[in-house]
Amino acid sequence: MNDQDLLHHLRQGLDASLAGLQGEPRRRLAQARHLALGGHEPASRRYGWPRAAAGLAGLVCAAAVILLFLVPRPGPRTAQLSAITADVDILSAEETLDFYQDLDFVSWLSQAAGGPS
Amino acid sequence: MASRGDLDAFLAEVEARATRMAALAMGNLDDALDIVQDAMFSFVRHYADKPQEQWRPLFYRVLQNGIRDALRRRSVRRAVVQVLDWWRGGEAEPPGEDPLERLADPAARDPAELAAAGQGMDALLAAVAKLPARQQQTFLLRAWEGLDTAETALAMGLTEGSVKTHYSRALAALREKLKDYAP
Repeated sequence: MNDQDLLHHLRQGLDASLAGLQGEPRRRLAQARHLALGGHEPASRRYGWPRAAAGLAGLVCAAAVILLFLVPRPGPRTAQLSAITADVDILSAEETLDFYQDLDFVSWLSQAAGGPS
Repeated sequence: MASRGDLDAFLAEVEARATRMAALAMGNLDDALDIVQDAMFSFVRHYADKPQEQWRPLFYRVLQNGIRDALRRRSVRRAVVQVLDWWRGGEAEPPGEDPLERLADPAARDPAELAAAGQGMDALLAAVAKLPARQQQTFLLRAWEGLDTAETALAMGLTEGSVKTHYSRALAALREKLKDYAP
């Protein structure tokens, strides 16, 4: 099967999978659309964490890791701890990453509207 | 100036595909519906006044941000569990992967087995579900939603070169996973 045929079948399969979004999922989507158009912010989220709280959680986690690192523990786990700390640093830097990504996006919008690049 | 009716029609047109994309990224429908709900609200709030030809990449930009945030929150919880496990003296597995590059869903069924069993559509979806998050979402935006490379790059927060790389890798992986697929 060549790539064109493969893509055709994948699209068909993905389109067919939408049939599974009937009943309750469709009702929730229609309700969400109605609320969004009415300017009503979603009342709750599955994780219950606003974006700022998610970033704060990342910072708290980083602080906890640093404190734990300062407390002597038996066994060399420096490499493991460094890896975990590095990941938490990435996660706690969420706002900075989005800021730079949004700069590119705003620049694209300006170009698309015929503004200066 | 777009009307409420135009916005409603646009969101009604993209909501199902957006939900399927989010569900493939998150591994469950409930999370996906929450993400799409938030994306609709953010899109209407921030971008409804933009030209209609920009709505599609704008909406998927918001959706991809939501998916990324949700995967990050999941990674934070996983990191906390790992730290606590390490503290208790357990054998914590260091996260060697970029937390934003979610491993392919281990719970996804094997596409080759599904294809051999004649479950064609399930095999196709399982193959897509098994892709790493960035490859998966890039592929879906390019091949299914029909965004071009530039639009996909902006939706994903990637360079156009990265989009091409992720797309070609996704296609190669799907070609391999579905080599025994017969429609």
